[in-house]
Amino acid sequence: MSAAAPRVTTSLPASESPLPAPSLEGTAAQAGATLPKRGDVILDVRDLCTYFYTYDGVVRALDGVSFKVRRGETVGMAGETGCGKSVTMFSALRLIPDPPGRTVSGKVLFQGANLLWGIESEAKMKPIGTTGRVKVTRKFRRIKAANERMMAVRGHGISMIFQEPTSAMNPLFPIYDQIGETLLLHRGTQLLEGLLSADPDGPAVRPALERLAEAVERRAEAGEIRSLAKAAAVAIRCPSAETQLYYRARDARQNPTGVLRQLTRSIQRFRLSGPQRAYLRYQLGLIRSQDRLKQIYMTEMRLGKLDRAAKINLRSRIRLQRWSHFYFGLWGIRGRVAKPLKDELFWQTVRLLEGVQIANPVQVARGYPFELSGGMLQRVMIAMALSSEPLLLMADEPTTALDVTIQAQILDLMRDLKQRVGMGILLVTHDLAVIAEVADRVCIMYAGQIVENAPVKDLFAHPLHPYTQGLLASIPRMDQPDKHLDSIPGSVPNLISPPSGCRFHPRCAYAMEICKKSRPPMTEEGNGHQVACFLYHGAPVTE
Amino acid sequence: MVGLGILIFFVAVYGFAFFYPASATQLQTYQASQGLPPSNTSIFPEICTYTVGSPAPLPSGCYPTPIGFPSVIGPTTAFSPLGLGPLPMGSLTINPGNIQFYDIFDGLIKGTDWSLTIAFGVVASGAMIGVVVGMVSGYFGGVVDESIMRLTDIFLSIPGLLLVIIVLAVFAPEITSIDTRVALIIGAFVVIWWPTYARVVRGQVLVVREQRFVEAAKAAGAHSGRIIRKHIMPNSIYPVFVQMSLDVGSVPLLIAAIVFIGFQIFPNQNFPEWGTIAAYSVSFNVVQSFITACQTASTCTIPWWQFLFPGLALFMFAISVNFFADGLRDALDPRLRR
Repeated sequence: MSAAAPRVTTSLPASESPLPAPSLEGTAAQAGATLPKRGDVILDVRDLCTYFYTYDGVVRALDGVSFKVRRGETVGMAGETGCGKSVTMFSALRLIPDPPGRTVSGKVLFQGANLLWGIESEAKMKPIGTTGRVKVTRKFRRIKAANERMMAVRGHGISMIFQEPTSAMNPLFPIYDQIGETLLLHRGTQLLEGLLSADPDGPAVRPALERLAEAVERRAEAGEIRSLAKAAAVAIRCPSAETQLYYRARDARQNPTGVLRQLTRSIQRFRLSGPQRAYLRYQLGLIRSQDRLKQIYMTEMRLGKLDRAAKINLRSRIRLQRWSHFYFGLWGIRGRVAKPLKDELFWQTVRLLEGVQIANPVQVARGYPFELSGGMLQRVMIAMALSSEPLLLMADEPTTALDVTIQAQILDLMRDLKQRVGMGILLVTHDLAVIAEVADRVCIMYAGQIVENAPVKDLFAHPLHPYTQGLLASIPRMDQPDKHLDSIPGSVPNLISPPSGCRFHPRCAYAMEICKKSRPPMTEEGNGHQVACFLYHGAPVTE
Repeated sequence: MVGLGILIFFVAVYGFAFFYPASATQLQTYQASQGLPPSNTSIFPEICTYTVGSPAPLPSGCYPTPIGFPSVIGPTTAFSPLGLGPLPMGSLTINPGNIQFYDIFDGLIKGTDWSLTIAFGVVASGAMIGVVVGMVSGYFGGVVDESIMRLTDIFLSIPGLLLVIIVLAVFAPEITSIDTRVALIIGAFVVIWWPTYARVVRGQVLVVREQRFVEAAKAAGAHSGRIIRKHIMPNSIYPVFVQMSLDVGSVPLLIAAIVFIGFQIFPNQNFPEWGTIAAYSVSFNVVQSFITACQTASTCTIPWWQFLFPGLALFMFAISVNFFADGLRDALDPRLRR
């Protein structure tokens, strides 16, 4: 697949990729947890139920969904349209709009912290007489508090990639602005500390720049310039200088006059004036207090106990700092003092864009979302999602809007990044080919329930559930051109009044009496292959 | 577009200066028929200042002034003699009874001041209130939205012209300061003006907040203040510019309408404001007194300059603001920037 996708010229060997071989220490420390090892469960969804309260009745969009995502593992979710794949993902991040949606029961444990904690009592519903309608209570203060706690997770520990990249970015701001925003929000501490400790006048800087300039003058290879730029960045002690020097040097190669002076001028931004330094320190203070608040929120969700005392001073300090930031803006001095930070964010963005193999990251970073193609934008989205070095990446049909070659590139990229960064991926798609390509484990969903959960090879080799078998049979196959293409009769049921018992039984060829009466339990059929069907008689799965 | 707007604006105010004077004979006939002394017709017409209410920056008297600068030293309020509206260009002179009056050019220049103050004041404050209200209402939805929108409906159901007249009838008689009075006029107009903006903004916010990038920002951990500031406001503000540009021209028109039906919202009948000048010149009393004058005098001139030039100025002003807003929109929206 990757052979069909022409690799872009600046792509680098994985070992020296510009995407910071992200040690996850930063994120884990911010989240207040010990670093999870490869194979540890990072997301544990248990018995999740999400309902939508509409005028027609209660839509039971999710009804007891349970699955786990481990570190370094890709879990694919597949099923027909309307099976609740996306709802699962949005529920886990509490992004379901309320009203009309509500996660009524279950647990979403992210690194042991229950993301739904604090609003369980919100889920109480009172039936109105015998009409079948219910009264839903909404305590806004509690919902607001829970939403604020989610700031510790959204983007920080769990990132998301959306289906249509063209509409998932604000058309009014350039790319670097939008990626820079998330960068500052989630990785501000490292970024600002790096900027403050940069030393453009160190003893090793001048010789390193001279070597780089000399290489430019003899029009050396890009690879050599790259490594020299890297050496110079090490001397400056700020990694983002590498991209800046590299692109400056590469441009200067066309007309190598006064290269050294140009290079020296380009690292001028690291010479901070007093007010600039003060501004950066102040920003650092703000971000540190925000990180501390996020830590407290994570602990609260993990222990299931509010920690009011710790938050009081912190929140008032953050509010004060935000307001003073606003006033700086009013006085019109923010533009000048914030220049080094802006430049830093720009070059960090360029670094991230290089990491997702964009050929001309400088131009792309300056561009607006509507100036880029869908495939490019999807990469930008991935770069943005990865900018916070999340533990878990949720991708909602990331390749649906793209053509096949771009799909292959994006999937390659995701697999690459998973190996390098070591995060978990939850991939929602209705394209089984995509799942076969990248997933380690597959959950097949039907009508708001997971019917089969198996390692990817097992699932494709021996699908157990009749629904899975139907899905696989309805894929056109090149090796059997004469075979009649099967389809599953009927369509996904209305979830306001789902079928009794097993929700698949009206469409199932093997339906028995018991299927109409009770819901089949999830059973273990060996080798981690779990299925919810009365045809199989394995041991029931327990938590 | 922005440049074109500014150009048209200056043409509106200064460009007609060449056409202002009626022919010399017409002017002299008019002055004779009104019992006025013949005027100074040099290119440095004398500008006379008087002290009415507040002290003028210069002692009373007449000063030769180049065209284009009369309002710098001119009085802020002026009367025409005989209550007949502004005189033709070049007929400025001293009335021994210590009454001030102005010719049409001077009136237009001074009118720029008042018309623009009122028009921009009404539109800017109305838009400011409307944008905040609409933004809150659209973003938070639910109960907040419902209550705010019903309140907006109540304000929309008030007949605007009537409200302005009533407010001024109740409060204005006690107000002597011209600035306070204009502030009151602006306030009365704002009361009927903000709901339009609130509705426009709310509608736009309802569209924008369902967009994917707002959801993406939420998923990336942004708080609602940031989402409103960075994502929703910039994406929903453009229709407000359009609405503002349309409204700026219609505020003086509404004032003209009020004056025309005979309500005196300014301290005197000949207050130099475009709408007032235009409307007053064709209002019932004035037309009737001209009919009387025509019956007695051997020759008489209908004072066409009194409604033509303020009307043209209003028209050009409205167009110029439209062009300006259009250009501003194009310049600010990166999707249209090429």
